[in-house]
Amino acid sequence: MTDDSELNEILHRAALALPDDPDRLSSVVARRVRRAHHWMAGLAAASVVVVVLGVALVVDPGGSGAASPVAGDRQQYTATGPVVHIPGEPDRACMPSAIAAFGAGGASTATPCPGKRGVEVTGVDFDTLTDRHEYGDGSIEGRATLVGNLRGDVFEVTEQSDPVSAEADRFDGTVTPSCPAPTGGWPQGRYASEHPAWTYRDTHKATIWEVRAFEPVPASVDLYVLTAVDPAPIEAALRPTYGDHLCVRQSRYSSPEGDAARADVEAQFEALGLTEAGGPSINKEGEVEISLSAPRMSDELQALLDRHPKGLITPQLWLHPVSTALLPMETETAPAPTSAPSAGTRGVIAPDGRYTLSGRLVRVPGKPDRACAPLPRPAILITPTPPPTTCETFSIDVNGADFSEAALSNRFEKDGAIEGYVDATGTVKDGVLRITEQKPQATGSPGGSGLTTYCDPPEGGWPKTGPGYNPNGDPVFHYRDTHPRTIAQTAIGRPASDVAIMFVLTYTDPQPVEEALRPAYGKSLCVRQTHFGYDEVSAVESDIKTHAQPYEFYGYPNFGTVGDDGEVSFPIQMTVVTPEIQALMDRHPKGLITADPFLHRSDS
Amino acid sequence: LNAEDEASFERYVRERGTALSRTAIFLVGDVHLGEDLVQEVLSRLAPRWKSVSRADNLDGYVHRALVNTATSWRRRRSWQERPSDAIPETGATDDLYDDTVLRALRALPPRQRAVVVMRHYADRTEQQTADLMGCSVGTVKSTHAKAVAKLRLLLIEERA
Repeated sequence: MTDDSELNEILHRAALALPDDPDRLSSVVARRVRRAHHWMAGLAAASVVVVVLGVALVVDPGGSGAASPVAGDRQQYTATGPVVHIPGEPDRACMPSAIAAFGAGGASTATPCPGKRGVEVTGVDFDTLTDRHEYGDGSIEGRATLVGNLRGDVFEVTEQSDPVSAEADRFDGTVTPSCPAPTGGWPQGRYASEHPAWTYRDTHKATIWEVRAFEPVPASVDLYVLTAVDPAPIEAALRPTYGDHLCVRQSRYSSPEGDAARADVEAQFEALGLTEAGGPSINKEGEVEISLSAPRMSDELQALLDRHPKGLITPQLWLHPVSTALLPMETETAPAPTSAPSAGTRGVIAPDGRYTLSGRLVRVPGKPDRACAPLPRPAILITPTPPPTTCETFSIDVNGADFSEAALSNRFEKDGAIEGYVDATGTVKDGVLRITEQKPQATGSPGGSGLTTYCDPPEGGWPKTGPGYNPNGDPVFHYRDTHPRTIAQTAIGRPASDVAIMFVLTYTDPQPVEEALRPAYGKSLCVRQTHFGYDEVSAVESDIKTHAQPYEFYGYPNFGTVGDDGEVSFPIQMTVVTPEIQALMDRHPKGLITADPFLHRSDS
Repeated sequence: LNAEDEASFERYVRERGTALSRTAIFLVGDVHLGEDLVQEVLSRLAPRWKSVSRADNLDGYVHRALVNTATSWRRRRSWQERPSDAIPETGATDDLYDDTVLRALRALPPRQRAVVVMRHYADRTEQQTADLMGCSVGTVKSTHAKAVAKLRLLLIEERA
């Protein structure tokens, strides 16, 4: 080999001997598109799937199977992806990214998703699969969302449904970082070239994580530079070239942290049964991440995540536990049921016992009555469409509920459906709440009354702004965007019905913030410093983001607000406090994450 | 995808599939891994085909996706788990041709391999290669020099 042209010839000649079958490629790609689409859709709509597929508990007394990454562990799981049947072979459920198992004539391999990329499955109805295809040799493939139990290496399916159909939440490389707009707004058009930034990156090792185009507003394409070090010198070097077409941000993670996490994942790759790993790369929010795929969460994988900064490693899991420690252990030796008649329609979400309830009751004709969390939205809408539905997420079947006008507060009725608020007590058995006492929920004063305890009114009292008035948020938002790591939270405080003030929580000394905002808000301003640090709050945000899969969480996390005590708060709505949520709260400073269950255990 | 975009995508795969497959095979130095790579990349682009197909240089866009996926650490390691027997619809296996070149390419680090493939098989200029790899032209030049030096040695060894 003497020169470039010879290398050209070597490669082109070698290419002629390679496979050439565009029809097959087209066919296989089409099948993978369908699978990938529904896999991501399944993740995006996880909260819907889990409540639709309520089933009874089954635990596996003998299935610890630690040697296998997909082995029974006394838990019930759900998974979405391809399911394949090959005559004479065990049926398999596969990770969505599994390689296509079928050619034009039927099964091309006896084990379509070998090893940890799939699991032997029983109880699947192959006649009702989505995108079902049956081949000449009797092989069948299709897709489904499955719920069942792992016994050893076998996934015993108890419920099966169509994969949730929704637009895929696919990360296509388009980043939307939180970059404050330049003073004059983002310029129209785009920057000239990435090369100056790349050259800087190449000549200043370990200073820049990533250089990426982004479009903060339509018709303005700008350059996002994520640094691993102090961004000031990098911005100073690049600003003359890019002008306002530039956003330089410092990552939460340092280069050594990224290297250490990657090395750890690489070292543990086989032991943890991972199927993919990547990074450090950049995620949709423009932050560094190291991603990995695994069949499911394990103690060892959790330990790996815990060894590194929160949020740096992002796991993508195939098997999601439907519920964990809430499963009643007395059924441990029971045989696997073929159906789940007593578990309620939304799954076992609270163990047997006595509870108090402070929430909603919803009755929809033709459906079981439900008790629901007070938020996030009414089940029965005033508008003509859609037709009434029961609450979807944090809810439980009830019987014995009184839906009369006297028994509910804020009662609303439409088309035979009724919704109202109660304080009640009752007993949960087999996933159904039997109400024994019930009274209309006392209507307390709206939030904000506590404001007076931590914001002293100014001399002469708070200015009256009139009922329903909302202060303009632009000044404080602009300050927040131009002074990173300064403002923790903002809220509109209403110490009286006709008074509204802008409440601002700062990470830093509140005095300069107050001085900057006072001209905009006058006396209608209260600025306080939070007890929590920026890193502490960021760690909670990352942790919630990482573990907010509803299957793990069974709660609806709020991404930061101001609590009743005037502090930064991350309330999580839920049915009951699960061990996972308790563990999440225990990992962070006390009070930063608050549990907001609508069922409270009263007998333990 | 609407019917028009779906037809456009299918037409592109049929017309360019062979070239893309060969590029992918060179990028990873393995027939089966290369086939899976091109399948994966195309299946990821398909849902966005409406916007992807409007790219000024569609092949360049797809090449960029191929290179990024091939050189990413995020490659699917379980590729190695794929059974090597009984794949009847596969048009060729490694036994059917001289894989000297593939073995030599496999010996290169992924980014060196990508530079070689883009420059000498996909006929990309240094500037185009730099653009699609997200690096400077200087980096392409230095990477290329190292890759060619190593390939020269490897191919000489193979011939010997």
